[in-house]
Amino acid sequence: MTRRMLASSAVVIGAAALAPFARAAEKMRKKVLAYNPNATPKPPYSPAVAYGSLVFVSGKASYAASDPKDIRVCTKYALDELAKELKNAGSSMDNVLKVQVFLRNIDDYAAMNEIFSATFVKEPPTRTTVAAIIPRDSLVEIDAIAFI
Amino acid sequence: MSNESTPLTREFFSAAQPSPNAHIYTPVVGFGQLLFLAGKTSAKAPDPADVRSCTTYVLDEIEKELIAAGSSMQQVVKVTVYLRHIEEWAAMNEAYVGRFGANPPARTTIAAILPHESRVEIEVIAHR
Repeated sequence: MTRRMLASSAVVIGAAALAPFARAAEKMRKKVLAYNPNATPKPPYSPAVAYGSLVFVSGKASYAASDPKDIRVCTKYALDELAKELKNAGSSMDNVLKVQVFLRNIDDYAAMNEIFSATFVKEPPTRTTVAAIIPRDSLVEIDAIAFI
Repeated sequence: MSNESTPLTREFFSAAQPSPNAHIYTPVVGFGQLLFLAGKTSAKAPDPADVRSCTTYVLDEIEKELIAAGSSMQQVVKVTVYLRHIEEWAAMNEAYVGRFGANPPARTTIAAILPHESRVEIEVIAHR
């Protein structure tokens, strides 16, 4: 009788001790973000999503760059757009962990790298680069995972 | 419910038991509150030549994995969509919109050559 009471008390105390962690885990929800919330047409995705201290940024493509045919201009544009989105999320380019770079032409790799390495100077993020066909004939698209 | 001082370890989930190709990859790997899903291709869609049928099928398969891992479509934070044909972007979107709830995840879409001649492949990162 006594042992059973002790055991059930231990379960109750144990559950109560863990309750704050359980509540913290239950409360974490994703948060959708956009530095330009009035973009039209409304896209079928969120420009950024934060979860805890991580932020996931949708790919920034280069079709709206001032010279969409110049890979350097396009890369700078995509990275500037990324920086705006990160800043809006309370993060920054210094906090980027992982980047994916999609190039229309794999031969643009060196030129893209010039701009990329001038942007991520100290402790650059991890990165994977591939060539692919990108929406709206873009020369480059870049997405990122960062921390806040 | 994990004690903060216990180191995190990977957890493995699969809607299909046993998991096909288990020696090559795991459909879902969990780490802390995050879930990383392997891409789902569309070769087995009801109409593999129709990108809308393919997109719906792939999203249904993703939903099954998320539920089996204790998550949901509303808890997806990041999506990557791979299309065989970039021109099918609008049609893919028609089948995509609304599938992740009112607050859609972040997304990157590109065209690439996919396994099994798939027209669509989608991968997601979600939370529990």
